[in-house]
Amino acid sequence: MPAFEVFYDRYASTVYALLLRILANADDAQEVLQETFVKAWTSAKMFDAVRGSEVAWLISIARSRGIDRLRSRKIRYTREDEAGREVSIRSSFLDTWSGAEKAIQSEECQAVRSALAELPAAQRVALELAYFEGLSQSEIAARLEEPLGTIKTRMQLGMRKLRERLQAFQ
Amino acid sequence: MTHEDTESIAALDALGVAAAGDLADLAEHIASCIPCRRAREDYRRAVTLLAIGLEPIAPPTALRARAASCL
Repeated sequence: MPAFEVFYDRYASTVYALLLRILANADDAQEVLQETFVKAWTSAKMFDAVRGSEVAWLISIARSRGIDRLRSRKIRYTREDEAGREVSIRSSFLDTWSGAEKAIQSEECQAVRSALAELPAAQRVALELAYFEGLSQSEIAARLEEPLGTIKTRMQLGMRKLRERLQAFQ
Repeated sequence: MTHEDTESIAALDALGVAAAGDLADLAEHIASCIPCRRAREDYRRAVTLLAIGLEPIAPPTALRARAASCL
């Protein structure tokens, strides 16, 4: 099987789940998924293993492009709303991930997932709005109708708890 | 800037919400502070795991060939 397909098969389901979470629209998620893999593959030389794992790099590309798409969609909808129109929603690094690393990462994932679930709802929501919707602190404060300082504190506390949970694996 | 300040900025940076003005201070501090650099790596890893921790969803099978044709 060609190398690109191996790379794609390894991560496509993970990246697609992330893009669906961000965009909540299958057509958009599929377009951005394609863009993400093409971008990652054609700029593989930019990947720096010292700065993080390949999956972290791929996810950062996907998230960034997903958030960009989400923002442009919001701008488009806002413009359409403002115009009073009906909005119509159109609907070398391949062999480095050993089984042991996968298992460890899976345990870490589980730890972060359960830590996230255990966070007070206000902290969890603030983290999710930032990560999955790309909202700034000010936008989150406005959305939740809370003071900016409160939001900042919630995010810092939430992140600290996630980190504490991860440190058990080091 | 204290270590605590730096860690707080690193946490927000991992989420992509740190103030632009704080990022330069963060970069300067972690250039010479190993614990804070480690904290930034931990926070980045934590947010990556937020994504990896989602239940995987298989995309339509035709998408792989479509992506490969763009290379």
